[in-house]
Amino acid sequence: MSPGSSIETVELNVVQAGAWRVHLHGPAQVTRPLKAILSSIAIPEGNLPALEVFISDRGTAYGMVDGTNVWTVTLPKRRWLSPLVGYAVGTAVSLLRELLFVHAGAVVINGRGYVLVGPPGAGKTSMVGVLLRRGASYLSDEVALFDAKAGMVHPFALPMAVKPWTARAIGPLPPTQLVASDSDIQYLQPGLRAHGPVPLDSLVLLDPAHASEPTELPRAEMLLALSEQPSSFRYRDRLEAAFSDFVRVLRHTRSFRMGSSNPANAAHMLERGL
Amino acid sequence: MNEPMLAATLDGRVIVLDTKNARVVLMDARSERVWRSCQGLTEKEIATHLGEAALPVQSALRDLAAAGLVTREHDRWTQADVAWV
Repeated sequence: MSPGSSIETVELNVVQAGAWRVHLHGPAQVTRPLKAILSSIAIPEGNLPALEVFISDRGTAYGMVDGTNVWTVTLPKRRWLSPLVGYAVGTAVSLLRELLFVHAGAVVINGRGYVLVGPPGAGKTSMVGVLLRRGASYLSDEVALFDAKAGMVHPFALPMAVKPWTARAIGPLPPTQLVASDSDIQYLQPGLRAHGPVPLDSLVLLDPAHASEPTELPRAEMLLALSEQPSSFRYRDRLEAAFSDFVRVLRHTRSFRMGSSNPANAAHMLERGL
Repeated sequence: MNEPMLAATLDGRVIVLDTKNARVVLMDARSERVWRSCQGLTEKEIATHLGEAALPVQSALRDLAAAGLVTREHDRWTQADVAWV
């Protein structure tokens, strides 16, 4: 990063009323790609307080909401975009009051939403990529947003962060736009995206240690798995609402577990098995 | 007075929000039977009522108590207040 600070403001898309704003302060070579990535998110809740992000020439960044420091991070020399995007997204989901979230990949198949949950390295991004190749529409490879009352899953169309090994696992993607790149990570925005909420069909728990077909997972076990992911359960002031709302979501949703050690095969099995 | 704990039944399994420890607790079949038997009975009475050995009942009660799902008073076990979702 070189000196020459500038201030840029990202005004995110608004799906319903209100808007979430992110104000970026820092070197243009950092704020520009960050702005490009964050601009593709649509937060469907109004009246969320703005996030102010300050990035120093020395590579330290911090975020403030309502005048309070909510995070500080020392950026690595390589792959510095990833933590910035992660903290901005983490702030966004921490501010939600009506919607639920879980760290997950999500796609639309035949007009219905499929949410892929799993531990880090479970192959969520690879599975999303392979499903896109097979004709699915993109919702997210990072965050699934649920409207529990309506039984819908909203797009959270952050560009896919594709690492070299993920690219190899996915194979050639359908048309995408290169939004930004950082070292060997490419941020790719799929062309075929859902532009509004869709009915949630299934939650799928990925198990990277196996290559098994989808089998039904008791929904109580899925709720337990969701509580162990980065999700609305992370915030103490929202614990009870998260519990009630995830129960509500699960009562109207199919729940599966499947192996994901081979994402291409897993995507094929998922389509065939659902 | 403590707020009731939230609980739900999903696919026949009882799952509870342990607010104090910020975690979700999924009961296995034995824990659920023991929990449902905590109606002022002693540990021994619960084991007899369920036809279970003393040790697994004791272990289940210990886990349930740690999650705040049961309380013991004068050796008698009682369920914590639960609000069903």
